[in-house]
Amino acid sequence: MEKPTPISVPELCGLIVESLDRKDLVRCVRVCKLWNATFLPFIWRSIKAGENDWPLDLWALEKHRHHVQEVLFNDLHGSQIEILSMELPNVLCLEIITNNVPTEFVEKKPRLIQLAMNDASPMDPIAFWKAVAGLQHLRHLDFVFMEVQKDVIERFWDICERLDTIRLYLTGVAAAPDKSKTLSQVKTLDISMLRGVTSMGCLALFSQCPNLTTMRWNGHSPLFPKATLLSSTVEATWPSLEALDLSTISDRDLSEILKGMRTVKELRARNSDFRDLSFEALRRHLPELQILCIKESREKNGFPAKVISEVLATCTKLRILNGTFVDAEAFLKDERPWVCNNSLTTLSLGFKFEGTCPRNTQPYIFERLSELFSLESLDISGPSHGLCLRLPRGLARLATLKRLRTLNFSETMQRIDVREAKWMLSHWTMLESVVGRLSYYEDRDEELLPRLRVLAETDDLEDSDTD
Amino acid sequence: MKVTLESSDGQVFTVDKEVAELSVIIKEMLVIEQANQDHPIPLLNVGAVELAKVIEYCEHHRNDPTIDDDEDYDSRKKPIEMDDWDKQFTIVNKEMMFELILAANSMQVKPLLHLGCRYAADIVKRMSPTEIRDLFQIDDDFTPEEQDKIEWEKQWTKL
Repeated sequence: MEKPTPISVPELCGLIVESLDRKDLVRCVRVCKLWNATFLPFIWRSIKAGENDWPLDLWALEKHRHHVQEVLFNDLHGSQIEILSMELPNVLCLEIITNNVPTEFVEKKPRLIQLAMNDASPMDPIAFWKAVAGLQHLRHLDFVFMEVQKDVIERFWDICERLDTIRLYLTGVAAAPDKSKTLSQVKTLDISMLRGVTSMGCLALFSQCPNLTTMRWNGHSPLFPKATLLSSTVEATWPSLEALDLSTISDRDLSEILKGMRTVKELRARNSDFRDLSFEALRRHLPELQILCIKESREKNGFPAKVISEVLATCTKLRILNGTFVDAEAFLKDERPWVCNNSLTTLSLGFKFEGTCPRNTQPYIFERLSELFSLESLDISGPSHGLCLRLPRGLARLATLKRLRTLNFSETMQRIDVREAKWMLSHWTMLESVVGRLSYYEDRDEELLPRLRVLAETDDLEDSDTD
Repeated sequence: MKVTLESSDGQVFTVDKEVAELSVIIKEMLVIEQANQDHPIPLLNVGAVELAKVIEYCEHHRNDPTIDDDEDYDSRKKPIEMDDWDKQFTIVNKEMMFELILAANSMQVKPLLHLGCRYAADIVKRMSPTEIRDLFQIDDDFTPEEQDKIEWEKQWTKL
């Protein structure tokens, strides 16, 4: 027997395929029978069918259907609807954006774990929901623009009992689940603009999920029926809660929830008041905090610098920090070292220079940013007189950010020229996108932007030559 | 603390425990056999040449932050960082690299395994089927009919 190569070891093949795109795979299946058998499943693993992805040949799909694990059916017309009824025995994850969904559609996908439906009405709702109830492995339901009518609502909530993730976005339900029902499997409940249930009803629905770890609620204002949640209630109702994503919530309400939580790993508060009370409540959670997004907070005057400094100096596990902007001078007063240098991948924070000469302050800010070695996305957009990236005071210091993929400086006034553009491309080899106006002058921008793109492309070509 | 490892062809290597522990397999063995560390740990699938190279890799990466589970790797898009040393390290012939991938797989040295698989993918990338066949010394064993079928399917699947 020949010596094994990595290609002949299935789990290694899986790793190799991760770095290959579809075009590479198509070449690989044409090498020989062994390679064909090895790589073909990866080509068919994830497919899209629909208006823009047609023609997907039914014959070919039929032949390779047992390889299919992930499908997106998008906007099917006429005879294309047939494809929905095809038997896909191993499909695990399915998204469907099309009307007149036939009932057989569900029955032919016995291993489905995740079902996403967007504006997709079933032909016969009663039979359809009966079939969904028969999907033994279903754990994840994702509904957008859907209607769950009265005659199927009871079955719908019965199905929800065995799910771990439920996402309902702009979806109408005929009624809330029966008060006696416990959705004990649900770990993530994500509700945005739910129709047919009042705020109070929504809160009741959340309360019926005792094992919730992630609560996402994006509702109409006011989100919470005033002062209904006390820290003691939160603690008793959701002992495992560790991720919050809420909008339009007051400082007081948010602080009560945070006080009641045992751990806070993720906190997103959109269009909310994140102020002193909330921060005081969050303080004891800082060592475990991984994500903090308070960018769209109502704080018009930027964020208290002490909060951001405290977070950067305390959260050893922080991965994403999304703030508004801070006063640069106040921010620099805190000289404690940052502890998230190896974990922080996304930073979104503007800097405001008031009553201080930016020339004196900016180098220190760049100095501190340069320590964030793991950063992949940096967004310094914000006040118009923000950080100035022009060489050599600014940009050059950030050469240490080797993993940077996106840079956003929109709304800030920059005077970036070809030299800086070249610098970015040569120092940040993983750079994919730059957002913002490069210079004061619009014409110049038009000249530079394509330049940045062109430079990026030639860079790519050179890479492939040296390979 | 030192640990001794024995290659399939009987060579013995002594390395720091923290270096050896980059291998998940060795790490697990050390937990089980805590009391019994006088004997070298046998690595039945790894030859001396490859083992020396794996150790060289582990020595260089001994202080890297550990990645506990596969999750970090599985977030597909996340590129694996390659420093200049890694680039130098991968300048070997492909047979050697394939042996290293297999060694890294049997010892479960995750970062080396991923580095190697990316190297293998880079070899295959952008190559025509004929070029791949030449490089790997593979015979084209398709019948003309099968060949046609693949071509035909390719058109229809928009691949």
